[in-house]
Amino acid sequence: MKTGKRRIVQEWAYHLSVWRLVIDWTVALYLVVPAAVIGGWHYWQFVEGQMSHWFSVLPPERAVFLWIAVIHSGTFRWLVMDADLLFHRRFDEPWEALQKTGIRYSLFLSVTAVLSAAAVIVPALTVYAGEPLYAVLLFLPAVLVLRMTGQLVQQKIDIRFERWRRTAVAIFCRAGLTVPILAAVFFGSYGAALLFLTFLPVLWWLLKSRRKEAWAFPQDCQREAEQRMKYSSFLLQLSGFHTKQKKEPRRKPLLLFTQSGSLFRDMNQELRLFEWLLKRWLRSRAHVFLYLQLTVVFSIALAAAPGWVKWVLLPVCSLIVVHTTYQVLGEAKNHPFFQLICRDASSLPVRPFRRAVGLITTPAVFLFGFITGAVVFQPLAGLLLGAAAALLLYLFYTSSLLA
Amino acid sequence: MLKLEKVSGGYTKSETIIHDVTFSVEPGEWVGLLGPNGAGKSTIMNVLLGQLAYIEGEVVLPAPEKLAFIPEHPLFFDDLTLHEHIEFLKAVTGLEGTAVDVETDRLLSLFRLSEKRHHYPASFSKGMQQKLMILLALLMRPDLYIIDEPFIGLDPKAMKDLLRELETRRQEGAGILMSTHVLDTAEKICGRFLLLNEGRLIAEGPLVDIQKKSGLDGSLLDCFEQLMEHGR
Repeated sequence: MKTGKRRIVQEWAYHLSVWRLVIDWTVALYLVVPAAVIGGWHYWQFVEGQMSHWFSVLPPERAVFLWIAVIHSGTFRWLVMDADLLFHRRFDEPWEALQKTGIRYSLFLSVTAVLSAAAVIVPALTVYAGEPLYAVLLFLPAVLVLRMTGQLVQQKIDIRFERWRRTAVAIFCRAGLTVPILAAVFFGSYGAALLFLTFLPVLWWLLKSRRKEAWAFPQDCQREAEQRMKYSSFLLQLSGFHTKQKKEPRRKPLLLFTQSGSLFRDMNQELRLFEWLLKRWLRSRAHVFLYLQLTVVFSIALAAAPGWVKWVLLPVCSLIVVHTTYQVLGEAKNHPFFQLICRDASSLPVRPFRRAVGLITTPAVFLFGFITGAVVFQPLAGLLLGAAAALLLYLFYTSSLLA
Repeated sequence: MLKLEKVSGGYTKSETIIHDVTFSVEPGEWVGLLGPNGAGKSTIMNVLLGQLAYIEGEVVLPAPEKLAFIPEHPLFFDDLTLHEHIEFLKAVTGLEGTAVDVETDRLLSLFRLSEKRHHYPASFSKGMQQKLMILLALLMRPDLYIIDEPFIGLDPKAMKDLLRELETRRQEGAGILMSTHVLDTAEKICGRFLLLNEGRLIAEGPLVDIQKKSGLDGSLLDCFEQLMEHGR
């Protein structure tokens, strides 16, 4: 078997092995079989023009938005691996054979995606909207060409731009691919034919250009590695594994302290530790999101809780936020670099940790107090209660809790 | 300063990797820890760092703040800049004062890292990350340096600068234990060698002693090969 084909087979064999491993098929069959039977019956009714009432109230023309979803999905597959540097990458013949298999495989995936969408769109437009079949079918090659063009354009953006520029250019180009399909829908079958004829040479040029971009080999390998995991990664993530590879690391801090700026003019050991804790917390998206999630959820809970339950929830929610933040900051001590530099963490002063936790959690606790006071009494009382709760907690935490 | 007395140990109770290893490193001594892959060098490093689950024998180490370790694979915080790593070192070790700032600037300049002061080390090359590890260890001014494969990824100038800096520290009284595979460099700089094979210390001493034991008058590499062959 040729290398490309063998890689496709291995990829699907891997997916199958993960699905077998993670899914309990005995249980799943109780869900899959009834879903297939009921879904099949509904689809048959849909094709026959006897769809249930709830569907018939939806305008069938909206189905064309599925074309847009199809155009913007998937990526072009080149089936390359890092190890190709040793052989395939060095010789023209096997390298071109691998690329051609990748193109054929990508074409197959795109045809499958377009036909799957067509299975819904064609009956919706012909049976329910009264469009002629040939007019709808003419869109299929146009959508196929646009989809593959979009995938190659996205790859070119990914390898040429970084960070916010990449996002901005991608949004611009994606919008540029959405407008023609909407215009084609407006102009009907002639529009679709024109779209196909316009983008086919673009696709041809993009294919030739991408095949020559040897310098993008590492990025292609990384993308392929992610794609190889695609249909299994969500199951593996559910099982607790991190499958997403980290892209190129950021060179400098994004917004805060871009020049490693200090919060304090006169530094000492405690202030340095305090600043270190704050910087690490502020730059960790996961930590900040967790804090915001807890704050929002507890705020809603405090507003919605009946009567006296609010007064129980107020200290409980506050302590949960404080304790979680303390745990999050304390995790830094388990970092290998921390342990490399500091072999005796117990010798470190505790005050910076307390101050950092106190400072980070004060706004959340103030908000909890404010919401409770404002809902039970009035906004002014909320302000007073919020200030009292935050002050009480800050004093309590910085003075005794960790002593 | 550093002393191992009949130390045996491994990662599991049933599998002992090093057997009855005895050696010491005195102040002002530069000792090379040599051996083929799988000889037990990294295991000894882990003994010294207290990361081995099962140890028998006596291990005497300086106080934690008097010991600096330069690992083979650089370690750092992903979300702190180079400058902030130095600030963190100061925060943890309590290093303060103008002299420390002057020394920091000198070392940053020496290792050509001044321009990268406000960049994340995660975006550095392997060699630059290694330089950061070396810089932090040098800033700590410990009594004992434990260094694991320091030359991997370093450019020739950085290697020369590192050796010069370490030699200065040695002359000031610091002890150095260095694990390496670069035998010709080790031969020039180390005063004493520890040759490990299959978890056992098969030879110890200055080059003259190693030559005598191997029965050869050649380089450290020749003696090393002869002793390995003889040990099989």
